Amino acid sequence: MFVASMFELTQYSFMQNAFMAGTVIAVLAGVIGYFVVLKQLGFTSHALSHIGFAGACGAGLLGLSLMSGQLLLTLIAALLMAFFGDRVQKNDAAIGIILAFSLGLGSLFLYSYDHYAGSASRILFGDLLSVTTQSLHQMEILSLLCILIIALIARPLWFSALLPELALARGLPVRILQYTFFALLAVAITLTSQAVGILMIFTLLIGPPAVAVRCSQSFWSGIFLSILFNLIAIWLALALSAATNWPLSFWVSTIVLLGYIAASSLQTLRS
Amino acid sequence: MDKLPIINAQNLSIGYSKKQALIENLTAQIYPGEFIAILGPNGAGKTTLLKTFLGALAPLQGSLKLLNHLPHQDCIGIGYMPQQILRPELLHLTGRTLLGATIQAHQWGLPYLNAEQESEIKLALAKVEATDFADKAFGECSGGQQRRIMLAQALLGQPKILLLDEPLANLDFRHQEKFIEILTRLSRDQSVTILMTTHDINLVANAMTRVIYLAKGKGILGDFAKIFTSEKLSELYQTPMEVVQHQHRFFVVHKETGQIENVCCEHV
Repeated sequence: MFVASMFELTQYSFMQNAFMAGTVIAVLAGVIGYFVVLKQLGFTSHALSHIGFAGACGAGLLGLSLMSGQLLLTLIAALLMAFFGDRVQKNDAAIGIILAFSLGLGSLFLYSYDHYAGSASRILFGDLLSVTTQSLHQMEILSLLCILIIALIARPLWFSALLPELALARGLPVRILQYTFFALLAVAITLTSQAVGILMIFTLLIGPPAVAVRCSQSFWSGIFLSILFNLIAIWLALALSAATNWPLSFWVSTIVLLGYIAASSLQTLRS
Repeated sequence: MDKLPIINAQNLSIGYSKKQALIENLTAQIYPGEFIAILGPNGAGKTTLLKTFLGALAPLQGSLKLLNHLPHQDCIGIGYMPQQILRPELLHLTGRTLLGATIQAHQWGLPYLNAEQESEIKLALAKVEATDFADKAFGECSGGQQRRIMLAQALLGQPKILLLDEPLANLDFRHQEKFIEILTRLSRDQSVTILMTTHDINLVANAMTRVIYLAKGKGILGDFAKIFTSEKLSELYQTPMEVVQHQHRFFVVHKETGQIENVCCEHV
């Protein structure tokens, strides 16, 4: 019965789009998230996603697509953060204040454009089911581009994520790597928030990659597990969301929490 | 044997800001194969000096040449082992993985080791006797084993100069001895020049060739016997100091307060 109704759902194009978009996002968030965890940029990413809220609302006000406004502002903020370096990235107060201001700015934009207020919850909590074929293509192209760039810079990026003080000592182009990575992070955050909303990018960008980092001893197993855990989370959440009609972001966050608890207790048991 | 200095510092001033130099007017010539201990109280500028040699920090004044190049122009020739390396995200990787990340850091593309790189990693691990635990998670290795992995990391690329920041800190005596034995072999057999900061001169008294002693914004380089005298250290500190020898161990004491300087014992 359940399987049959699931099969029926996959016949709808909005469901196919949601599935494809979810897959693309899971892969990208898995790859970028692995580096986010290694570089301890969790809170920075969270703040960047909130800056995207102001961008999305502002774009709505100007009649542009929400995702492009969000991407633009997140990108600018990410490059600024890369420029300021650890002074801002590792400064909880600075990040917290910027984060709050972005939400405030977003609320002002929403207020000025009140008939568009329905979009607020879409931006905050994500809405994979309303992904159009056009925006799906945009996501695919952006993700592919990001993953290609990561593939190009993976070696120095990985090393400087693991041993930052040595990367500097060995004369790696640390600044260029930093800007490039933050630009890719902005794209990953924007796309991830299409699925789970700006409030919950942690679910795909931090949670599963953090578990992957914990149970991998090499680069490839880390990246592979990070993508795999993300795919399991999003596919399972899509199925449960379709079956229960509850929001996708609820299911993703629940699955990630349970997965994290399971992984942690397994590790405690083993040691 | 090469008589040209491998590290040549002339009137070198170092520090993080031009207004406040940590060390002024340091002149030092260090020759290939030397094993030098860098000593001094906390905050004297030991790590800063290493970072300047490394090229991570520009000299404020004076000239500095390593391997006949300005710092940072010949990074391959210098191996560096930082003080603090333990980040929780690293602990699940193996030592071999860390070395693999290091050896290909200068290449583009996806991580993949060729046979030549694999064998260089193997060689570096063998040099520090770390082969047995190279495939264990880094976090499960003992403190001494972790240091040896990081030393192997510094040895990749066959550097002529090794800069080691407190490699002996917080190790038990057995591991300290082992580490010094490995370093001695490196400097003797492969004439690697070693500069190492430490808080206990007594540990390396037999292994090292000379000492750099930093205090009160000044630094002196010389033989252990010449520097570890009450007269010389009183001059450096600009206050009466006394060098005391007890059961083959040296202690540096402030004559007025009786306080022991932490250049002669790990835990003061």
